Amino acid sequence: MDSLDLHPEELFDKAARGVASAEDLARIDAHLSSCATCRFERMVRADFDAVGGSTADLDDLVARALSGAGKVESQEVGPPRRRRFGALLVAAVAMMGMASFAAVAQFTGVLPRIIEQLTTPTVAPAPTPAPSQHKRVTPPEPVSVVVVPEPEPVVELPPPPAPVAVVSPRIAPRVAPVAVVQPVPVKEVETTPEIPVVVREPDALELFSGAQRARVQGNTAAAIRDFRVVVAKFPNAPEAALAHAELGRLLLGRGEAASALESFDAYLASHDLTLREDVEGARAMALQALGRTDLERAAWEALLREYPLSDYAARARTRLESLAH
Amino acid sequence: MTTPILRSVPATESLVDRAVRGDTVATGQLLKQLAPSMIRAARSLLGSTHADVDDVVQQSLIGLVQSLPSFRGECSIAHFSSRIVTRTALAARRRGHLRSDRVDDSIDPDAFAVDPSQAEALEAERRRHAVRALIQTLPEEQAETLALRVVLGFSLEEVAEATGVPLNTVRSRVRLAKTALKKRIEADPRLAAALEVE
Repeated sequence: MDSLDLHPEELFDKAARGVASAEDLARIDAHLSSCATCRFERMVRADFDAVGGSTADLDDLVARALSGAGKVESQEVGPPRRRRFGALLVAAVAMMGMASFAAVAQFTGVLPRIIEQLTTPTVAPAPTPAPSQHKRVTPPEPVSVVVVPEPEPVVELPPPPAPVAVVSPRIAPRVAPVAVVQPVPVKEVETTPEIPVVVREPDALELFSGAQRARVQGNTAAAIRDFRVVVAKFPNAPEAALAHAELGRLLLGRGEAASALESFDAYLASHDLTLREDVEGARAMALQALGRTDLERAAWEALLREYPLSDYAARARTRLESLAH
Repeated sequence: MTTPILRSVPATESLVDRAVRGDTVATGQLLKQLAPSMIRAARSLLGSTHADVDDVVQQSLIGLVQSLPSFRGECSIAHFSSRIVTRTALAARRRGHLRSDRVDDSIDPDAFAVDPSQAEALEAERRRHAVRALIQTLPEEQAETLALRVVLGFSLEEVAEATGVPLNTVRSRVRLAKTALKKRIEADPRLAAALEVE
């Protein structure tokens, strides 16, 4: 061991706390004069200390973290957000964009659930209009509220006249999560201010649908983040497997082949068969991007064995031929 | 000497206790206190403009919430959170190291040579980049130790508390990491020249 490898770390710490003696400081100076590594460390500590802070929206950040961790933040934390409008339009766009996903998802029952989710009013049950709109009614059941994440752009509604069942958007996992309430007659709401509201977290399907919307609208970063929330929060749900597949595809498209490979492997470990062919092909491409030729070869061979008529078959054969040389 | 990034979080003990017990309001308040430091740590460890900063922060915050029930107060909550963000960031770097590091490696020092202030900023970024690149190549334990000590400014004792290993182990890891750092400096002509290494 070189004598310069014996760095006086304790003295550095004492100096950092401001408790170093003159003798300590002299020893530090003597060491620094001969040790480039410690001189560098001192400089780079200052460099890292100069790294700027963040202008992040902490309310949103914290809300998404709580949501991702399976907790719902109380409305006591932070100011409430203004509600926004446009869920039906977004749902229509998302449904059109989900056509490719539908080809496989419809056979598993996932798609019908998604469509139902997108087309069903988000507040249920809506109180039946009473004969007299101004007469106070007492509904027998609590109102269930579903938060539907909604991407931009949105149109803001004027302030609500009554405590319509609104959930803090901060419980949703998206940047612009909004409590969307189906058009409930205002007068009716005004007459039922004491309706008990039961707030529940979005389930796996709702989160997955929100992520799909983001993907369809080209908001890749939000989609990736939200698919990760699905995976983290509902690891055993059927949507988690699909989220792994979608996540892998998005990451591969972004050039993050290593992360994509992890997602594809997680999907294949789930035993979900819905997207298996696609995922196996995409996984082989991820391995190609990573230069793992042996694994790539095995992946293409497995794909051809299991799906000889796959859309990936031609690519698989081309790659195998190329890898053979 | 520099100010450690994650030392001065004014989290009261009662707030931490309530968060550990699962109080969602307290958890939210605690996250708001810790998040700025965690963001800054992620930016330091990955690079301010790294594409994964937001994801790492988000994953770290989720990890912190999920880990709170296991928090026993053996170190400060700030150190606890710092270890989570450090490990998350290092894992992200390892995952992404096979792809091109679009930000850090795209630095063109000569493009900034005219403006002294920009040149100095660039040299600082070069040094930060050297440490990040080194951390990526070190064994996991050494990488974490170097990140906590050099990037986040922890003392040896604080590293030991945060990582839950004996102080002598921390000393050993620091020494090994700095030996690797020395080799990296010597291998980089620009760094070596700046530090007057022969």
